[in-house]
Amino acid sequence: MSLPGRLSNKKEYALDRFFGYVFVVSAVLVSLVIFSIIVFVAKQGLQTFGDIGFLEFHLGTDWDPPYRFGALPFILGSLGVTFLAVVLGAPLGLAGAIFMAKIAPPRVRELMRPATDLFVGIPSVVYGWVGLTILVPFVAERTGGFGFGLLVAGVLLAVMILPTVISISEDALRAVPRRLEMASYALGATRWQTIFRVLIPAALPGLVTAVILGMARAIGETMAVAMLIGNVPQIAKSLLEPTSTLTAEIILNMGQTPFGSTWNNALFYMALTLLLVSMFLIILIRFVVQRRTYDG
Amino acid sequence: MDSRRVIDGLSTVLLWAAGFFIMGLLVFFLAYILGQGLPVLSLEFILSPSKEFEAGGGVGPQLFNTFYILFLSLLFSVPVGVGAGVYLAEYARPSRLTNLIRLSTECLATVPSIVIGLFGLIILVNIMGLGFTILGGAAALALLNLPVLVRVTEESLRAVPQTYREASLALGATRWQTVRRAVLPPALLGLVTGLTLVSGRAIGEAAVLIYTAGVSVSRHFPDLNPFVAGETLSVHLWYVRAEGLRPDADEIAAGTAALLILVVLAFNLLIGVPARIYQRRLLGKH
Amino acid sequence: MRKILIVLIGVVLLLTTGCWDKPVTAVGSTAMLPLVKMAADQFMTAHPEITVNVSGGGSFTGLSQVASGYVDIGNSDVPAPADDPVYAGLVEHVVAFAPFAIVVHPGVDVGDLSHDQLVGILTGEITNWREVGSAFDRQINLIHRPPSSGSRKVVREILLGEKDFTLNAAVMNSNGEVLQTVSAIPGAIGYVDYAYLRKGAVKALKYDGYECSPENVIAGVYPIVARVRMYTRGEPRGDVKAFIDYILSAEFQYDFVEEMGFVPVAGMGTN
Repeated sequence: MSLPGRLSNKKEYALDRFFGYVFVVSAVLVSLVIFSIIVFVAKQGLQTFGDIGFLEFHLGTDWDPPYRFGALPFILGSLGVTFLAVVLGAPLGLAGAIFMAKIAPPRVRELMRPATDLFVGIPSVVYGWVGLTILVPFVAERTGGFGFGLLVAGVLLAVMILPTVISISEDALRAVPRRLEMASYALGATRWQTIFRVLIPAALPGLVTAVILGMARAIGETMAVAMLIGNVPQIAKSLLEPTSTLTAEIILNMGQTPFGSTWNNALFYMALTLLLVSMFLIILIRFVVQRRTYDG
Repeated sequence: MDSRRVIDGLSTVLLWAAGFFIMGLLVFFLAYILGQGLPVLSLEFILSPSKEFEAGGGVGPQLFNTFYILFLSLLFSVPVGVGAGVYLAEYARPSRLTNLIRLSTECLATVPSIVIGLFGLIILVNIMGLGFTILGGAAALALLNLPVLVRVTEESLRAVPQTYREASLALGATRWQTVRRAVLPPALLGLVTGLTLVSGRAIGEAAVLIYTAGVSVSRHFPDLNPFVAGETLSVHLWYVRAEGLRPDADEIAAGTAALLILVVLAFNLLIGVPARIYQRRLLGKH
Repeated sequence: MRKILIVLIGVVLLLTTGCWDKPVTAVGSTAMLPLVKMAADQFMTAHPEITVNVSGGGSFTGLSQVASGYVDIGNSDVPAPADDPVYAGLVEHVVAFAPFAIVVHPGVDVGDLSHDQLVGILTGEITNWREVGSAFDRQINLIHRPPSSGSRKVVREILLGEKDFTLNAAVMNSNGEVLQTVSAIPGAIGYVDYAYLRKGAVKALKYDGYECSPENVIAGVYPIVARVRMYTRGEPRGDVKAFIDYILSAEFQYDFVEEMGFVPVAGMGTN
């Protein structure tokens, strides 16, 4: 490890101050960008309610713009695919991360790490296309229906969130100090006990972050979902019925509706809804994690 | 005592199975995409310009634009994003504002990129007058990547043990010296992982670029002028799948998809491997 | 490291200031992209001094961009709303006609649909292929386009009038996706631009006994056809006018528009 070699002098202090400013300015710039995007989305979105009722939008099930704007099917669709993706993808991803961090021989790990990173590099259009050419016909042939719906979208999303879950939770697991593990083994614990009782609790905040980001990826995924969900504004009565999500409805209609029209504003409000839903989930989970870590 | 062993053995088997299943999935996806695409790939396909209607033609300009736009967008976003990440991890005192920034970066990741695309269209393309150009696309991609970069930087800096900082400061180093010499080097691998994630996402992004960088290419190839429209590989892939009229649209799309994956792979190796070697040397000296 | 960065930024700034004429920018309808991109390619070859930038984003992206003066040409397959003052200054140029083909999964054993049968299918009154003369008892899976898409609006206007499409359908975002889906899902039916019809993967149906073809469109017996439009803010001038004139020229209309599967403007007369 390289430590500062010489004693601080005037030049170093000047540099220190300079870079202090650089970091502050960057932070201000980033906040500006982030908040202006959020303000932009909110400003467009909230105009929706000049024309339609708040309750109609959130609880209405009839979506027929420019006449009726009941967006509940999209909200439920987004929550549905996200739930399915996390239920299927997160356990697998966490297991994969534990395997990579603690069980796999170094050579297998060396191979798996960049390989999972490669998953991320597959563009979502390609995922969507693979789903559309393999999964959808497979389901359609067996059911006689469309094949589109929560099931195919959820399964594909589960695969898509794997790299996020794996890479972040593996980092978290590897960041746990060796001595904790050593202490556990020294006390006679098996590998499984060490993993389950020591490693996972110690890495919990990181693991939860991994699942949150995976969830965020799932709820925000657009192109692939729009190719697999069927894009019909109805509440799905089964996993195999075409339905829609907030993201899919946004991408399908955003460029085709006049900017500033009620329809277009409603799409921006959907984006805002996505933002708020994820904000709620993140705060909730942070709260839970904090409780856990303070207890332990 | 015995059941402990059984559970331990069983869990090991299950975790191995999970590892293999994940690798199997990856191999399946890669085999499917590359299996369809590799037969199309040739030097001619990679280097020659595309055709609109007749069969044949390649993706040379799109490949070039992919790298060019990625490079420009990283040029904009990395200094600012990493700087902000360093600020959040090393300088900022925990406050409601910094918490809000963190929360917002996480939430922003769930907004569909088309919304960022429209934001870019209105702010960068229209108001700032960049037009549907490579520069406009790069700037919009930078917007998309900034929050992720900040988050990843902060995370990887936080993973550096506090003792490193204490030791450095105790030796009389300034804060900047501490960040540069004691905190950034061990955090580098995390930063690079973040960078590859961000780049992979940028390389695969289409929706943002359709609204900012255009779907056509310059007549010159390669054209360094950032003020012409610059279709990238992903946009081309989307376009050929969605509306391509060529008789060989399916093959072109398959080839483009395969090339995209290879580009990401090359990119991961290009910046990932040196970082790993550096990290190992760093730890080796330890 | 930092020096390299500064040099790079310098290079970028240099590039941004020099060697740049104002390009012609045409943005909008995704379905029109092949036509416009092709025209841009040909036009730029003939006029090395002019650059044409093309992008998609949807018809209304094109309309609002051209109406606010940010781009030169808005491509749209829907007419600009006549009652909205935002679009009041726009001038319409019909550059081609695009017939829609009714396509089904290759396994469907029906070759012709009457107007009433087709309307029944699109509105959801007919849900099984047996009801329109098929030997098989198979669900009809309608695959079509989003409510905001120009194609859907045209098909609805021409075929359905006051009625609306059934909800019992799946919606895909582009001609390519509709084709892929119809070719992969048994019992599927959909509509695509004639230009995208790739034989083999799907089967095109006759409508009231007439096949979808440019000849039948020109003869007036196949009515499912859309106008392909370019909008400019005021009458076009300079390079923009030259580009639109090129698209409307006999050379481009007959060598490319027709070749690509659209119907040339001249062929349709002035209707």
